Amino acid sequence: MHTEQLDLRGEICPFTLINTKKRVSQLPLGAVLDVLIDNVDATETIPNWSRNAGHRVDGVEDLPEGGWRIRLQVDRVSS
Amino acid sequence: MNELLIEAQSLKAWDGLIVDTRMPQRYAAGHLPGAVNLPLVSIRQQQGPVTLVADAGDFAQRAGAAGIGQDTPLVVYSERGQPDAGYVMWALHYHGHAGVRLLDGGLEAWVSQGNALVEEIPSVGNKPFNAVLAPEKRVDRDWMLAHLDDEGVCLLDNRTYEEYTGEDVLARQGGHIPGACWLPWEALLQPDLSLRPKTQLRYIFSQAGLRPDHTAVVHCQTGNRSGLVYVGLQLIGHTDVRMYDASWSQWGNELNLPIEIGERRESCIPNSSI
Repeated sequence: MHTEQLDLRGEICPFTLINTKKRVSQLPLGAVLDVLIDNVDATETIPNWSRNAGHRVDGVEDLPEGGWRIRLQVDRVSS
Repeated sequence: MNELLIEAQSLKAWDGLIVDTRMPQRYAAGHLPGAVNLPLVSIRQQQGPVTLVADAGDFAQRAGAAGIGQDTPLVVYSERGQPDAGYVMWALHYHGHAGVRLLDGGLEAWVSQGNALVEEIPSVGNKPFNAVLAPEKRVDRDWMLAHLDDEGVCLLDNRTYEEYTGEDVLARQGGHIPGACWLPWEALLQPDLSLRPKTQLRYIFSQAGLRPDHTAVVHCQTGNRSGLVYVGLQLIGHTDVRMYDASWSQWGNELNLPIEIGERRESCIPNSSI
């Protein structure tokens, strides 16, 4: 299974979502993307967008050094 | 010289305080000489899914710790169109600080003129910041509900078209506040990321449905993007400009609030062919 990390720590809205959408659109069906963020509002916007766009959100976890990891699975290939 | 903007070439001769509003790690990697760091995220608060500007006491503490007094002349800047710097300018205005300007074009304008960035962090003392709120700069959900049908109010939604129509959903529900006009924040920028000339800004705002006598209310998802639109409205001299800082992070998460999905029937989509 294709798994990769997208480190968006240091980014704010709207760039967190812009970068997440761009990367998700490039990944194959079934790929897992771990998005790392340290801007709390992205813990809402990225999972909400992902679910609505047809992808799976496998959790939002605290990182020991601060920030969060959002695990997404690409469930719909972009047209 | 415009009192809201300052050009990169004028900044070297300027003797106030420069404020970098980016996240700490981006600031640490390189900033303008002498700039202090007041990250956008340090002057906000989170209440569940809702993002708001910090309480006045917290804001004053954060600003003071960065060396910002309520009378300190300031230039704020960021990068990539500077939504966060615009938000910080609005927050400073809301807390009673009037002497703040935006570096037109932001960090990119500074660098494009051959100027260096530094990693050295300036030593600045703590300054007292006595916040005196300007309540006419901010609205909340109840104000919004009371003014949904108010023809004297023009609500400008500064998110993407997909967020506005509800195709992209960043909260519990998608769509827009009834009656809101769509005006994406990037429409105010030129290719070099500086703000458009005032004549173009006036045209863009009028195309979006704004009249000079309107109370203009800006919002986006969490207020960042609307920060730059707030600056644009200040720049053209619009007299009554307010921010709904809770934005869609609140409206889109409260399922009892009215929403519209799709394009507005009475079109107010701006013509982008400038």
